This record gives sequence, structure tokens and C-alpha cells, in this order.
Amino acid sequence: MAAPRRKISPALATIASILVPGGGYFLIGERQRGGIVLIGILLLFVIGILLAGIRVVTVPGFDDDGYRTFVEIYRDGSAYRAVKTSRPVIAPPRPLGRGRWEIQRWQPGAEPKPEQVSYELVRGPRWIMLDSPIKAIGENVSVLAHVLNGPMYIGSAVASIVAAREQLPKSYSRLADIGSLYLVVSGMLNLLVIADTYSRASGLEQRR
Amino acid sequence: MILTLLQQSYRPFVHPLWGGWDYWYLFLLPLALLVSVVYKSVRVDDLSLMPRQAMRACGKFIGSFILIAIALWVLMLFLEG
Repeated sequence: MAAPRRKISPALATIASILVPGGGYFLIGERQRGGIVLIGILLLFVIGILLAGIRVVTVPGFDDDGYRTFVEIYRDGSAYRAVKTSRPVIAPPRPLGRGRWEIQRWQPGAEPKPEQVSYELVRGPRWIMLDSPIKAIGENVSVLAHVLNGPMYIGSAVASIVAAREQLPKSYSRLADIGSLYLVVSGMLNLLVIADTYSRASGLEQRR
Repeated sequence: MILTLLQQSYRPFVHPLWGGWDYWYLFLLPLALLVSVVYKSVRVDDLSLMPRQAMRACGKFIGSFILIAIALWVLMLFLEG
């Protein structure tokens, strides 16, 4: 027998499911279903990190050393050139003549060293999309699935950045692939749970 | 010696799992089981039917893994001539 449901706003149930996996089921009175989903998704997430280590959690916009990546735009004659970097320029470029400039980049935990470049930096570091949106999404499909884990993802992403800044290397072993698969699957299942919570809270599921 | 040092400094959840590299495929079994349980919990209306349906789905997942592995192995044999 299905448990009797409580009348809850579908939006509220969906938000609860985004905040806690299966949280919406608890709100609509389906505690058993919510408990199974919560334990299942948590186990998938925890086993994934246990297998692959915390660095398996990919954080978009941060490089392998755990620092924000930017795009610098240079003028090369009449054309413009975009360079992806996580070491932004920290002082105005000094002209050296004949199109050459001396710049100083911020270094993690080290004094900046002067560096010579051939192009004129026309704008400061900023966020732009270097690739086409389809390519960018295609390359980050696993990140998208990681993000679907919600608050669990945010907590582990912060831990992943801290570990990266402590120079903890990423693992590329077969076990790390399996761990990443666990995280991707838990994110996809969480999305399914969020959609189902909305459906059950709004009564759509009973009309099917 | 390096391996021993690495083993001593192993911290669960921070470093990748120590050992089990040769048996990575066994970690697909809990994955199949957990996916089946969560998926069937979402899909079925009557939760008393869930364990049976989840076991059946888990069996299908593992059977599919084995069939795909055999098909890829045969393909590799064919490609290697």
C-alpha cells in the first residue's frame, strides 16, 4: 500500500529535494521512500569519494592547482587573442618597445617574477567562454552530473579545492574512474528524484 | 619503500582507495545494486514490491555488463585478427 500523502506545494517539495536528496518525499509524507532514496544517494556519493579520493570532485572555473581560471585578452596587431590562465597579471604591463611588454603574474605562495610577452593586454582578466557552448557543455557533462548532487557537491567541492591547493595530486587510475562514475550516477538519480518529487507533490504521477 | 610510505600516509576520502586496483570491476556490483534500489524506489508506487523489482533490475544490469564485456572481447579478438 502507498503511504497517504500530505498536501504540500510542489515547489516546496522540489526545493526540499534539491536541498536534501529525497527531502521532498519526507514533506509529502512518504518517509519510507525518502529514507531509502536518501541512504542510497548518500552511499553512492560517499563510496565514489572513498574510491577516487576527494580530488575526483571537479570544480568548474578552477585549475588543477585549485585556483580560479581567467581569460586574458591580448591585442596582436589588428586581431585579438584570448589566453586561459589562473595566474592573473597583478601590475600594469611595462612597455619594452617593439610590441614587447613586461608583466608580473600572481603566483600561488611565491613572489611574482617578471615575464616578457609580445602582445598588448587590452583588458583585465575576466570570464568569457572560449569554446562554443555545445563543446563546453560536452566537455563538462560529468561536472554537470556532479553538480546535480546539490549541497553535498558544494561541500565536497570546497574540500577538493583545499586539497588541490595542498598539492594533493588527482588520481587517474581505473578505480578513480569508477569513483567518478558513482558520483555521476548519484547526481543523475538525484535529478530523477527531484523530478519525481515534483510529480508526486502536484498529483501528476497519480493521473498517469 | 615508496609504496610502503604511500600506504602509511593513506587517508580515506582524501586519497584514492589503497589497493583493489586489480579488482576494479567488483566495485560495479554495489553500483548496480544501489542504482536499482534508488531507481525502483522512485518508480514503484507500492514500496513492498520494491525489493523484488530492484533485485530483478540489478540482475539485468549485471547481465548487461557481462554481455557487453563479452561483445567487446570478441570485437577485440576480431580487430586483432
